[in-house]
Amino acid sequence: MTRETDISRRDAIKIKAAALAATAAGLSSAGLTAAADAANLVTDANETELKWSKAPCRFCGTGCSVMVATKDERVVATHGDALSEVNRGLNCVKGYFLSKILYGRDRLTQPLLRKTNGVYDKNGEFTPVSWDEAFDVMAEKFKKALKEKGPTAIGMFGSGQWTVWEGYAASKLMKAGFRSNNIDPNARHCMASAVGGFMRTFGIDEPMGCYDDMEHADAFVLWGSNMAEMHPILWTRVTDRRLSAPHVKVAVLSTYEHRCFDLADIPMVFTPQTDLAILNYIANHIIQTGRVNKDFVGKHVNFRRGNDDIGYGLRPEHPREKDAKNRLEPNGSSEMSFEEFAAFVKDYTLDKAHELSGVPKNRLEALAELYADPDTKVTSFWTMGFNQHTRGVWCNNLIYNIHLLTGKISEPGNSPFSLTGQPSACGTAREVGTFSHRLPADLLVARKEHRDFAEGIWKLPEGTIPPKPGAHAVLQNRLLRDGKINAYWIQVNNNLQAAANMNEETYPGYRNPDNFIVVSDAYPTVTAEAADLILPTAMWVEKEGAYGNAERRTQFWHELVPAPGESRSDLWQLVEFSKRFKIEEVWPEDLLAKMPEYRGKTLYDVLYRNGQVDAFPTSEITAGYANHEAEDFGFYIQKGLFEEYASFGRGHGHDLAPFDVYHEVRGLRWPVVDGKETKWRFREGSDPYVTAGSEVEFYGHKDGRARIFALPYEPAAESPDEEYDFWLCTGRVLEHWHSGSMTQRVPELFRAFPDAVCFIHPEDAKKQGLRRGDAVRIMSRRGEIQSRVETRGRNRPPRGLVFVPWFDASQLINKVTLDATDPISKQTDYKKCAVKLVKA
Amino acid sequence: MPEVLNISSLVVQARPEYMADVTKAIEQLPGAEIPVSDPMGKIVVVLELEGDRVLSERIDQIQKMAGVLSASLVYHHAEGASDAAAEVPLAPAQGSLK
Repeated sequence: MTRETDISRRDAIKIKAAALAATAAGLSSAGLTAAADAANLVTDANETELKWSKAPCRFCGTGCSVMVATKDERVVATHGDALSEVNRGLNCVKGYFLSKILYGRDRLTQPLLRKTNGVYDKNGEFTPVSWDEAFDVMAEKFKKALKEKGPTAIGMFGSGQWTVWEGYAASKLMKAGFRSNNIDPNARHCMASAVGGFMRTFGIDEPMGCYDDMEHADAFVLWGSNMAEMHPILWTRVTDRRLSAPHVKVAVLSTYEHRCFDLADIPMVFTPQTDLAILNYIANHIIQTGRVNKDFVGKHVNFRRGNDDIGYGLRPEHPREKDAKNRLEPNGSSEMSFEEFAAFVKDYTLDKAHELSGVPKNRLEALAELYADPDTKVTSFWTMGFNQHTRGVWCNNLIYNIHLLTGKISEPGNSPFSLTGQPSACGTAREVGTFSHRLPADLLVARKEHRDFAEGIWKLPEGTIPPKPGAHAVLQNRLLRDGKINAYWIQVNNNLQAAANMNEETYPGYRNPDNFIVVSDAYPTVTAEAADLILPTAMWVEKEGAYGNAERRTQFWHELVPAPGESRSDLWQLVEFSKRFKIEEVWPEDLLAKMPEYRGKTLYDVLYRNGQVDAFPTSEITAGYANHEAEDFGFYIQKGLFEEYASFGRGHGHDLAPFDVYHEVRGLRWPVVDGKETKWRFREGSDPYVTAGSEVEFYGHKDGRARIFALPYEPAAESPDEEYDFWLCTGRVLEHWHSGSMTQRVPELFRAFPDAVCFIHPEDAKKQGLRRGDAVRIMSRRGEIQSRVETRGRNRPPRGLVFVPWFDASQLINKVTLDATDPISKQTDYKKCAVKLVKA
Repeated sequence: MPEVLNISSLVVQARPEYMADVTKAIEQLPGAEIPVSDPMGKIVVVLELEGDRVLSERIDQIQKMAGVLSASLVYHHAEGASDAAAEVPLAPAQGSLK
């Protein structure tokens, strides 16, 4: 058509694809430029049909920015955002197929209620209903539970995939509206131990460093993190650093070999749970070889002896719990001196670490030297291997011990770095305070002054927020089963598939006749199918949103396409539902008497039409973008919620920029003070909160010091024995994100890894009479599933351990796992239990 | 009929010493081109393929090549392939819950 050139639109797109990739790779695209110029006419014509906007990726906590092209109200193309400091134009395979997660054939498009003969029946069939009918039945069930048993009889399970304002609106509805702290995010399964570690050691949550550390480090140590598959873009940055600076070393620790081992200079496969011993050995090595940074430790650190023998977070009647000395005080600790700490870790010799872990001594020594050598800048990364651990908080404390003893912290390249699983585990679950014990900006429900502060911002009477922490994730499941929580709402997560020991502890609670279970989702997950009411939900760029990634970076996006059918965002659902409750129905008279002006109002009026959340008119929405929630409520609700939320943290170490700024930039790392983001917290010159002249200040604790904890090696909750003779470790694969509810609907990803398999050592398989591809039963004391044997895949377990990914709804491995948790963080250990294998 | 376009690009990071082998292997894949690369092991690959199924196979093939450390995807354009939704597999079989 265009006579000017003979270059077709196809060629133009190919040149664009090549040029973008070359830019992302940091390669000169000189050879491409002439052709690209020639293609410009065609490309421009092409571009006029497409509208490009930025959005953070929907999947993991890395927080890559992608450019999203829409045409005729549909997402048609995506590419890595070259302006993003996080991913610099690159995408991983999941981000690459982002455009397709919205368009699975089985998208839910209308509310579905279980009915028989036209009325609600727990054992009825899912039947399409209107939003009005859905909310009528739901409100009736919530009111009944509140009236009969009070606020502890309702519960909500949310997610690190909620947008910032969705998590905030939910937390406010539950804690201030319904006055129930029974709200927890699925980040409990993912990040709670990291939070516990930060709060104990530093008194403030989230990493002090940032991704820039990767270009400064001389060594990387991976502790229970398969970055190559789970955080591929960050792994690309590690790989770049390793290959461009030959002195850089990579150490990888895991209970089985995975793709990161391809780059490892010091590969280490250790016996499950013995990471605790290795961490203490490294501290001992630093002390024994005289490499403690005494100046740093003297100025910035205190020592504490943590309580030991703290149990395994099982039901109290479980024998392992009854015997635990400090079951009721897992978080307790007492003062100790450096000398006492040195004596405590002295027991963790090289020999002992080797015997427990099975790692060759020279590798353990080489690892310890990376930390001990004052001239080596070390960045430590960890994810679920540390966090999903019955001693997860301890693991986090112990890695900080090492970085603190050597002063290798809060400066470029020296960085203990807790990576995040979900896109907004930090931004929403943690910062907004959607945990059952937290309020925004690290505040706690248990502290009177924190509740007072929150009630002040929310314009609520003193005593509105209940002081007792609510039920955490695993406890919610137990209380549902025991009939103590009767009305329950799950948003943005596949809780049933994700819950350990689901057959014994979780599923019975969902189907308990006393309970009413609501699930908001975009797809019919296992959890949705076990519910009584399913609410169809708008996802990702079908609404305006905000996520916060693992390096404290807050990122926004606009609504880019309409949601299908009658689906509505979680935010709309939460706020619309609040209209159904008169304040008299949820608050007692004595509370209401303190603010009689609220009489006769609804929760919607009190929580969201309070002069703050509704302060911004819809005219402030960026021109050219839709916003269904704002249109429905009549004000710019996302902006109002964000600004009210931000008032918790401004001036308190959690400062966020003004709302509108985030729609312009590729995210900013908090605290953002006077328009400037913070790359390294606690370091003078980088962090505005550090007192002048102090150089380093751990201001999360009142004395400005971080804590080093003396904590021992203790065994796992369940270990292999004669009958159940294998360790079972569960986890993820590159192609599928979490439970697979989105990625399994992308044809490319589904086909790339359609079914879960049981990764096993070839010798173990042989011993069991199993060959590659054979069906195998994986059985524990709690349940079993059937899978297929894989002896050659990307994961290579040692003898005595099998690895099974959990994304596959047809192989629910959480029937097999144990619901043991870290007693401090209440996070489940999905990495360790005992199983036997039987040929099917 | 709208023109069907299924074009994508990726950046492959190979160990520098494997550069020649990896380049050769990629060039032999149908639908793959290497417009630019550098001796440090970075290879830009453009893929034009008939269907998405082949695309995932190609990526998998590249990732499994000896000496390949990572394959990151940059650009994805799937237009006119209005079967995108129709191609989606049915919801995975739900395991029995009890």
